[in-house]
Amino acid sequence: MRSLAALACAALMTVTLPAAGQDYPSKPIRVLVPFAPGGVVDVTARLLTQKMSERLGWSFVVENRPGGNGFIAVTAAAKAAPDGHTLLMAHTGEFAGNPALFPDVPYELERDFKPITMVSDTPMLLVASKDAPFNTFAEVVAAAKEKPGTVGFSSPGNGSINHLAGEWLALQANVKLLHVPYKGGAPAAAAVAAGEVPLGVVAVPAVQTHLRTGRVKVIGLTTAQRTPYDKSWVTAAEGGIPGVDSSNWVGLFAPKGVPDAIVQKLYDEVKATLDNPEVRERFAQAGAVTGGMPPAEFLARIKTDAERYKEVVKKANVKPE
Amino acid sequence: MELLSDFGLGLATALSWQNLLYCFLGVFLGTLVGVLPGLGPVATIAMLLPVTFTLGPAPAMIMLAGIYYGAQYGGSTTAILVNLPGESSSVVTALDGYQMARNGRAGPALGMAAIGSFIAGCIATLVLALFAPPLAEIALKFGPAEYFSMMTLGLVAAVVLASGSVLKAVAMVLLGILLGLVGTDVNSGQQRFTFGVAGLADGISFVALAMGLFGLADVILNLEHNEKRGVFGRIGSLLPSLSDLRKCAGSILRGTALGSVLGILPGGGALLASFAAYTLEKRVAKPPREFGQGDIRGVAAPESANNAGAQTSFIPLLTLGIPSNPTMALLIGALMIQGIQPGPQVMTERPELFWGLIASMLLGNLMLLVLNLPLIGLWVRLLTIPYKFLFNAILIFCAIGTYSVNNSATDIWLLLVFTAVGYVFIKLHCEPAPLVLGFILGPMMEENLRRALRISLGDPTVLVTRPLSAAFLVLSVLLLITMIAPSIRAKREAALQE
Amino acid sequence: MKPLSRDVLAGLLFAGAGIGFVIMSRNYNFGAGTRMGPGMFPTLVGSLLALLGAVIALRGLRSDAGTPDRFHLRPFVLVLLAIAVFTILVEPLGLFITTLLTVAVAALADRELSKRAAAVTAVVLAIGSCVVFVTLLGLQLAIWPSFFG
Repeated sequence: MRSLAALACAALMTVTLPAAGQDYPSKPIRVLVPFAPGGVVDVTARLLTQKMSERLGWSFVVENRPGGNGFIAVTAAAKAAPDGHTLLMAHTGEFAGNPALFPDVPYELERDFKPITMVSDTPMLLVASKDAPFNTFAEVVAAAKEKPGTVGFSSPGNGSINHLAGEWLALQANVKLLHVPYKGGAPAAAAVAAGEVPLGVVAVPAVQTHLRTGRVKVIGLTTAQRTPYDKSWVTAAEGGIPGVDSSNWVGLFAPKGVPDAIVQKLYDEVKATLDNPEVRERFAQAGAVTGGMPPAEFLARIKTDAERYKEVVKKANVKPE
Repeated sequence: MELLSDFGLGLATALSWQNLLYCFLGVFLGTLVGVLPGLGPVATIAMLLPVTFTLGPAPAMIMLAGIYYGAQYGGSTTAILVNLPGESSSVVTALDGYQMARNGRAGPALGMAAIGSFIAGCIATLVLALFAPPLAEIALKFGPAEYFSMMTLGLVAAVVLASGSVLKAVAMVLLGILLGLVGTDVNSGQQRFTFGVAGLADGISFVALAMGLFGLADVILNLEHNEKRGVFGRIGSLLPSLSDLRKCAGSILRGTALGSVLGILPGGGALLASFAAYTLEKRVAKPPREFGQGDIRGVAAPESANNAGAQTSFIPLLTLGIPSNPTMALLIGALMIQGIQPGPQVMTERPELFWGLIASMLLGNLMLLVLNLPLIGLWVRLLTIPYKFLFNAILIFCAIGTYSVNNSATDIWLLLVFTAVGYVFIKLHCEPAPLVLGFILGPMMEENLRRALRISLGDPTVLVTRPLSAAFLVLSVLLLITMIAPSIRAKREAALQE
Repeated sequence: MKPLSRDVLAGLLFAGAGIGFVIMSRNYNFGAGTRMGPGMFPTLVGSLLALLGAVIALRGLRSDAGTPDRFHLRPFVLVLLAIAVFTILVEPLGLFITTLLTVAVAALADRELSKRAAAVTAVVLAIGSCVVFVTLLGLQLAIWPSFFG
């Protein structure tokens, strides 16, 4: 019944498509978010759509469809009418993490979607509690070599990009760490602050508070490049663990059938919004860098990430079970 | 005296006409969505987030916080009137509140809920103002072992929620735990007991479970007999009497104290507040016999605890940036959109925001009282609508409310299943409240147990070597003994008499 | 034959549920020590429930706990049917028509409700819920069938 209705809609759309480039958008644009309100992806979606509607007068509805590892929202977006009025805001996990972790993901990036652009990119940090007996990557590696598989690191969840980044660090350093999953970034960071777990792989917003109070110290970044947020933080490579480059990006996607003209229009508008200094500043405060790369470049980046995580998952034997 | 000047600054912020307006708007909307079953503060705040972009941080926080604690007030209304607890905290309120409504005392029940919430809200806000930073340290003292043991204590105490057979109540707790485990396992990421249904990946919807077991099962029960004069007796007085107030004073204060302490714990403390307060009340209040039959103290204590917990759960949010529930996560999002990182520095760098929020909470609680007391007449009048019309409305609102939480049809199917199960439970004299607490605490218990064992490298003694954790476990054992002993003794006496 | 007491029935129900969960948990890794698998906790709790269910049932056989209260099939079936109607129709048909149809089914559960009164209730509720939930509160629910546009 539902698909029949969708089919009818799609049929109607194809009739009106030629004019789509000009009178787009003709109604509010739904942006599906695979997370509950309040998370990084949700906040990013709301910030971007707010700034876009201020600039253009378009109206947006951010729709949260959390759960099922993002399958629910992504599948819904893939099946939506391809008229550009339903978009998807997703992060590294949905398109680079899930395909590596799960044997049957109900969607495929290139089959179901056209990437529009990356909106933001946030590096992750390896942090330690203030009393932990290590301050640098080398000291962490030494401690882990001494007692393999006992030095714990917290992450926002099993199979999260933070988890994979932690495993990636361990792989490259040729050590074994003990992964301790939490439910979200803030609890994972708090666990390090409280000294429950000596290490954590967390994003800047989750750990900012604890950095200021001095309960948590930064070992370094999981990315290949330093971050403008704090130029003193060293990268893993500089700390002696080469070959790790893991960050959490958030990007905007359109269903595959959306005409290129609309994708281009969306890209231009998103890019222009991201170039606004105020928007840049907002992202910078949360430790993120604004994106804005062209669709093809974004697609290439996702594919590289997917390859890398696939290898990490295989070598580190990470199981979603 | 610095505190006084800080608070003065806060009052000045909160008393600006603009902020007063947003505070009122927040508590009004909160009450409204709290009253409507299923719709919670999360959905409302998410919807209003875009509006707050343009407001600036102080009015935005004042309004959003108002929605949050306003919804805590409103949530008890449907629980008392028609046995529809839309949130975990109001499950407990429904126990005695709904019985009061059936006895024609809906007015006093609603009034006491509002008064208790007001007193608790004010005291807890003062706690928040005076002790936020040192209390945040307590939150960090709670590791996985402590949470596990505290939840064990909570589950043992859950048995007290039922007034019938202890054994059946324990079985209901266990069944609740198992139902709570349905969905994606936090530690391994594996989906359990979902039968491949995508809508179950995040577990069984609490709203579907509670509305089915309580509200709709009760609708079927009420439809059994076509009573001419409706389900509810005559409507008595609208407000609690002086003797009611005197009777409840202790309950309100105890509830407030318990709620304030539990609210500080971000890992699920606030959830326990109303359950714990009810349990405590049933133990200390005399005579305890009327609990479950419409004792007004059974409304006053959990409502106070719940509201106190709602206020103090801002402590981990504002000082540590840890959200204790989805609503708080959303408030962090709202702050981040405003370009503010929650944390202790908010207090020093943005005093007008921190103290303005606190002052607005006091004002907001007052507004809620003023708003809610006159509304009681209106709510109570709803009960005079003949049941043949009312039950249709309950049914539709439940279905819409359940759907709206996740926009998921699976959730309404679950509502159907739990309505059926709830009706069978009624027929077998199995009370659902312990099941609900098991449902909420079960998964958190497992999560923390596994985490504790993982960090200790598989050594289970962490549960008893950490003093706080050990204390909780000892208390659990003692409580269990005092509960089971009388029933065994009673059996023996009965046997002897034969 | 004497009907089974409600404690026996309840006990059997609990035991059945407990055993069911234990059996399903066998699909999940049990684990040990450091790494408690996803199967361990439900297996333990399920076994406990099964055991307790058996105890409740046995005690129910010995003592006379009373038979279950009478099960009224008519409101039971009709209320469930009404929810089912709502569930199946709300996404394709929108809130308005679904509410009408749901009330049409539910109204049968109350013999006192005349056809006319039921019709009025249905219309009032349909309008009311569309206005309150969709227009005022902005829930993401369609009012009209999607093929109306």
